Amino acid sequence: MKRQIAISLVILFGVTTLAFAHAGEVHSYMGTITTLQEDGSFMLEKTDGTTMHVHVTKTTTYLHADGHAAKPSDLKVGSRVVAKISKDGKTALSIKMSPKKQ
Amino acid sequence: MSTRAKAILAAVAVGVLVAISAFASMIRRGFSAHEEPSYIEATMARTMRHWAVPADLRSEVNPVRLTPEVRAEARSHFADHCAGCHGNDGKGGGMGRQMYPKAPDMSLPATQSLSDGTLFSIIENGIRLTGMPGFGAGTAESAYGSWTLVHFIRHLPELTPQEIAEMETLNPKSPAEWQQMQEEQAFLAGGDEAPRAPRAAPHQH
Repeated sequence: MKRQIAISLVILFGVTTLAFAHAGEVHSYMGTITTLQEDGSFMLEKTDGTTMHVHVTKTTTYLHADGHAAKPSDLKVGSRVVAKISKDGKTALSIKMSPKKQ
Repeated sequence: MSTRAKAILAAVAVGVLVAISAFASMIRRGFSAHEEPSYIEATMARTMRHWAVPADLRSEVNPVRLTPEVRAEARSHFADHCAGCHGNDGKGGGMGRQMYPKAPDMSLPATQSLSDGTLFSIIENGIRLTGMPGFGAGTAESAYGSWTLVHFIRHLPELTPQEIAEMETLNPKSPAEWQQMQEEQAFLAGGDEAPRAPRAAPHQH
């Protein structure tokens, strides 16, 4: 019984350590959009060649690099973006994209 | 001694014992700035803050006329001097999150309901026993800056993402943060970007 409890505690510790690893950091990623979903989320090919799926929410803000307001519909496959990702490692707090063409 | 006097004495003794016990428990547990102030502390602090505002200032109305230029000036001022603790949006997302008491969300009624003069006094004189310093220099220039900040604080509930983005470019930055911002701008403008590992977004100091 004691052994089972000890193993359970070790597993619990391991899982929580993994879950909270790197918590508290907000990262920004530069990259190019390779695929776009209907809900606005997209696949980002980062500048280091790796890819990540970026989720968006109602509170995600969109901006052009020159500070003008942008809309989710301004994102296209091939757009260069800088996504500031929240602590969960996948949800975008803000997405900055290339300046709007005049 | 009458029965009533004995009862009162016993009640006082119990009260004293409870107070000593609570105090001993607090001392043993220690104090942390991570906690939220208790209701009593918050009430006392707000009362002290109210008393700290000079009486003739409490009802004063902002003498600086609000124009788009004044608001832009105040926005830059806030981004440079205040956002480190209060966050660009004034919601207390900066270093103020670690303070005791925490920097408040100034877009909420608790701050918005304060008079112009009270906000001005807080900016100029600070609040004792909190992280809020007094920024006033006793000059007309300092007073003008503080009054413009009062206008900006009033604007916080309607702050737009564009304004926040502009403020981010004005926040004090380390050389590494400047470099990152320039790399991102160059990348978005279509320039080449050498592959690099992800890094933390600039901290706001």
